[in-house]
Amino acid sequence: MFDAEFGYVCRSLRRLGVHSPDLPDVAQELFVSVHAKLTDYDPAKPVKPWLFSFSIRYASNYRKLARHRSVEFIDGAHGSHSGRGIEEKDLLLRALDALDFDQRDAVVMHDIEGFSAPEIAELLSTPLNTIYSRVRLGREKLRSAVLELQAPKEKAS
Amino acid sequence: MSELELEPISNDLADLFEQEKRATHDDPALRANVFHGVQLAIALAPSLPPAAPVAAKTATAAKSWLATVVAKSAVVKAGVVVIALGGGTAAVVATQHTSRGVVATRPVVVQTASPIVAPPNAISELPAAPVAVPDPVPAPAPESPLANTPPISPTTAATTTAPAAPIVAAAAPSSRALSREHALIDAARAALSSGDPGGAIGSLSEHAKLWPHGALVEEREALWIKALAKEGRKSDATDRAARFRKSFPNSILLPVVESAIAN
Repeated sequence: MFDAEFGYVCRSLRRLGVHSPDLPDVAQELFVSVHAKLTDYDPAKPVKPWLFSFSIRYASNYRKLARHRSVEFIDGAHGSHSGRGIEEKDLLLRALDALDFDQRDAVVMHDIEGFSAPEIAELLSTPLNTIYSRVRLGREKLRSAVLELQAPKEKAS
Repeated sequence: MSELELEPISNDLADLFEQEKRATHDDPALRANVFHGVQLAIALAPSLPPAAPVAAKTATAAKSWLATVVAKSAVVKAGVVVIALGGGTAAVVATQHTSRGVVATRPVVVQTASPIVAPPNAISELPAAPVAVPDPVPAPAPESPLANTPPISPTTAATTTAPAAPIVAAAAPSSRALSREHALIDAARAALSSGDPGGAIGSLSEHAKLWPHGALVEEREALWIKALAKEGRKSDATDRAARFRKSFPNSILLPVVESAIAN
């Protein structure tokens, strides 16, 4: 399972806001937890949704702790927050950083992971209409963030 | 509102979503690093899972996981890996262990502290970093655990013929003391996991003050090196790693230490 799903878990954590430098530690804790909970896993069901539930919990925990840090995160490997020089493959992840955590979770789960809104509502213990609202607002904000990140250099200078 | 009432996704976002769905995040170095970390954490799990009946299929799944971990382990021969499985199954990899996963010469695995990670049932129940309540009557405290003490002499507690990874614990601590040691080590691990190496070092320093020669000194030092590396204090990490190698030449944690320095 580790070999097969490591990449998926890491990508999920990144989508949910775990920054690259912290990814190894968060992924490690997650997989240790997965190991401890293996007896709860029903092999008859797909493994990815089960693993994603770990990702969202650990990402949420990470963000609660990380938000207290005063140093603004800048991913040195991918340029600055201005958006200049952002590679296409990183554009969405960077734009997701503009969303509130709740909106981010909802958009990632609904539009990337393919969960239905009722499934998200159940997983997050949140009213269904709240989920719809988060998806809608999250998309709007995400689109604005994408456009901003795609703005030409001269606009920023 | 219903699913159908959500406005359609704009084309540009839809393209980005599709691209993201196809993306993976597979970095071999990261994979190896995490794998070692998982291996370490499982080996150092402070308590065995409760012995409860489990279905054969889940037991098989757990064993499959174990097989993966053990088969890939380059450090199993060091002789201190105990991996506990659900359903009262304990896999013991070494000559030093009893049949139920309790290390005979080195009380790393006990039933006192909380598990490294106790997955919550809801996100709101996520565990915070464990709060350590240190022993009010600590042992004498050196300023710097490895710098000011001759920390690493072969343990006299070892009672088997297994090659000794020198461990400082002179005598088996009480389970209560060990539980408190674990609490601090777990707090350090949780802080490190949450991207707070300074906090981790704080917990490790506290452990060093309370138990300079505690049962978990080896684990403490490995985490300390990792935290230093994470903080960007490469020189300090390298120096500490050198002392670690000298002190624990056969340590199961050496790959973790080497990985921390390398990264």
